[in-house]
Amino acid sequence: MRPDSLLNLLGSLGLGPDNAVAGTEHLGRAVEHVRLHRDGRLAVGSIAGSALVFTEPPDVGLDLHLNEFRAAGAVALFLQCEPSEVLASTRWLADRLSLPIIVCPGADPLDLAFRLKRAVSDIAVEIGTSCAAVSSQLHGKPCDPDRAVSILRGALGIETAVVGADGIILAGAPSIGRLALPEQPHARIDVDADGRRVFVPVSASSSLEVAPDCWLVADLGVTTRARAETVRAALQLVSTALTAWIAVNRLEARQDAHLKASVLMEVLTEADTLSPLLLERALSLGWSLSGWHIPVCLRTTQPLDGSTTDAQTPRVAAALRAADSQFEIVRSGTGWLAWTSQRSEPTPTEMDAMVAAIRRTVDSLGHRLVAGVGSARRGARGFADGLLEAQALAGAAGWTAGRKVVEDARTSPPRRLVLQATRGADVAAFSEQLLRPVLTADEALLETLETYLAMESSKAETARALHTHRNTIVKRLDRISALLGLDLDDPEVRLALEIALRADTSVRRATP
Amino acid sequence: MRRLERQDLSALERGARFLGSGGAGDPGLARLLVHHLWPDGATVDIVPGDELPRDVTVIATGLIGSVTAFAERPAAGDEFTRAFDRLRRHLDPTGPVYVATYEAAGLNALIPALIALQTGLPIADVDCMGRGLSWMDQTTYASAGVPICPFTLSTPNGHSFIVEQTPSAEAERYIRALAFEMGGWAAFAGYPTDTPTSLQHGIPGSLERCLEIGRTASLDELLEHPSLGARLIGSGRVTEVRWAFPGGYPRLTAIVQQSSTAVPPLRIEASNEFLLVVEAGTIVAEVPEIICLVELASGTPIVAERVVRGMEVGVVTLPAPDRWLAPDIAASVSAARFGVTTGGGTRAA
Repeated sequence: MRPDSLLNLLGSLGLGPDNAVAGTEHLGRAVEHVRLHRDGRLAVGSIAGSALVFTEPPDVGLDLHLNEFRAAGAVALFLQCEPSEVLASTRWLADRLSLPIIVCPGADPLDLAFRLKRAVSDIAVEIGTSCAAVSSQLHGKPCDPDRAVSILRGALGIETAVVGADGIILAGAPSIGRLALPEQPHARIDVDADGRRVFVPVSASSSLEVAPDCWLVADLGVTTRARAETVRAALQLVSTALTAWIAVNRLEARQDAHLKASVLMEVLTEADTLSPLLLERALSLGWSLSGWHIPVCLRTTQPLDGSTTDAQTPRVAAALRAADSQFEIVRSGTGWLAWTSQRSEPTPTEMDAMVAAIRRTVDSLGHRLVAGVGSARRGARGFADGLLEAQALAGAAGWTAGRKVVEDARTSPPRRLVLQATRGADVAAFSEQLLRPVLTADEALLETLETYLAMESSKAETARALHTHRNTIVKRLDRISALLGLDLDDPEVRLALEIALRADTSVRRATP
Repeated sequence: MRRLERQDLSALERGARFLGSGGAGDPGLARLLVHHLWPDGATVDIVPGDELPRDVTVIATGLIGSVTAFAERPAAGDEFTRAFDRLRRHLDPTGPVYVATYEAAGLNALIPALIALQTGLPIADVDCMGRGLSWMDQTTYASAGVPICPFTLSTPNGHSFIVEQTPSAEAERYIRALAFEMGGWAAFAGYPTDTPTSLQHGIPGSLERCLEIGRTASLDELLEHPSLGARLIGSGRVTEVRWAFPGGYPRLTAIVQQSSTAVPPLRIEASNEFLLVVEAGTIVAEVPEIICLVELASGTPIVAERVVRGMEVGVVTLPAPDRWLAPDIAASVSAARFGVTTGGGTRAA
């Protein structure tokens, strides 16, 4: 490997141009060797191309020998002292001789010489030593992102980041996480005027067609090539432990979720003939089927794929448990079935509070979630019936007019009938077809129609509600009638339009 | 022979400052003491070396110990004469006795005048240092093996000691220890020599040189003097002053920034006296050469311990006494003797 510059060497030691008190314009010189100057004597050997490390503080002897050092080809002098201890006479002469003087306050000169020598000429030893330091922290075990960053900081003294999909920072320095990730899933070192950056992919899949699960990234700044290679080797070592962590967590999560969903389905379908084995399985999952249960079903109204819904499960679980720490949550269909159990029957006040809590939970989670809260029921049979009821109510819940985001089992029978009449894909499709001429026209027409039906066909009340003149309302209703080709004075037409407006169609403008 | 009068004390003091080379104490204190004790109309005879009678015993005198302590613990005025008389009585020579100084620089350049006034004896113009130096074994007498003993020490409160027999190399340790116990300084009388010995191994004419230097009214006049050999190395502002204490001894490093950054700064190394001047990595002046930092505003040399940042100074040298250039004794007054390692650095031609 070609000799690196003094500037890069400084970067690899955690030093910089500010440590140079003289000869600062010549930090680009290549350093080939390192020599120790101790007790007024140079170590044996030529000093051409060498960085000289002094063990004593600077004195008049340094001034007297600077010419000699430069004539012999020394590249730089390293002094263990404060910048103020290098006096003007020394700096002046070093500048004239183009001989950089680097000060390292508080450094042990022997350790400095050792590290310099290793950085200059012993790259294999450097890599081995660094990887050994990292390996001793890993203990051969899987490693999570936070620990990975911590190990690299402790072993190598560098800041790194673990960056996931879409540049989401899983752990480490945010500034590093904002760097553009490579296109190809291969380890690489990028170099520019700002220094060197190392990228190492982390993937639990052996296929190169699959994007990495995440990246390990280090921004090293100005440093030597050798240092960058060392860091890459260490990151690759850590990436192996991260990969193991990802694989283990993925397997556990999948096993757990599948088991729960499987047992729950069995319970829901076999509640009447619950077998001891099934009960044991439920109990092994921590479910108590005795007592009173408050069932809840949450579902998404936005189209999300299964993996995305899976990914939301921890958030949903956390939100529900914030409302009630006893909630159990199982992934089901387009959402989740959840319940909380208690020994005594919940009071109406407790149910009100639960419905309100579910409403707050739904609001906080986004993704246009809706929920159904079933009646509080008892025992294994009640457990199953309640969850099925909650599922049905969640299906009736929605964000459109006439719907509620959280449907409660205590809703009146007439409402249930209306909800039943406005459910279903057929109803939605027919409603869209019926309303299309108004939907594609002026928005004011749709608003006027909805208000007119809500005001029980009163034009005056409609005008008052919309803060406009009655004549304007009359003209709009005439236009609606013309667009639809329907007589709005016909009660049957008005009932049909009410059903159509309440139907859950995805193309309609939604109101919470 | 020269006759010294009271009005000559100013010139003697000024010359003593230059020959002190940054050390040897502030001669102004000694001048005040001598001036105070100088009777009206009195004169003191200074006898050059080549006019000394052959049967004269010359006794070297002066202060030993801390000149700082001398400033803080005033002299009684008779301790130097008591030390001289005590030694004279001990020696009881048959011939005349003359008083001399062991160090014709700094404070000690004026002490023989005090003794001469109080005893009526002449001053022999021969010393054994010729410039300011730090230790009693840095004398031309010690280098030649001339014994320092017997010698006496006296204090302002009347205590006195006589040391009859000890090698000169050991005497420095005893003197330091006794001076410390005696309050930091003491009056010294020793190195009793006959005329041939003092002329052969001493430095004749030091006081005359001191007066010659002191009569120059300004730095320019000093530099232009045809025979003093003064040389201006450079001038500028003191920009850095660092003190260190390797082995317990004070070490000063001062930087004098000259007129422009194109001109190299001067680096001055000092202990009690100025020892080395380095310019662009080259030694341009070195002890035993007499190095002075002269405050440009007053034209007065500064002692090393009073160098501070911001002073405007000229760096001036005077030739070393010839005796110190002899190869067999030069090492005792080299920079290395003071702990300044030059490692064979380059010297200016």
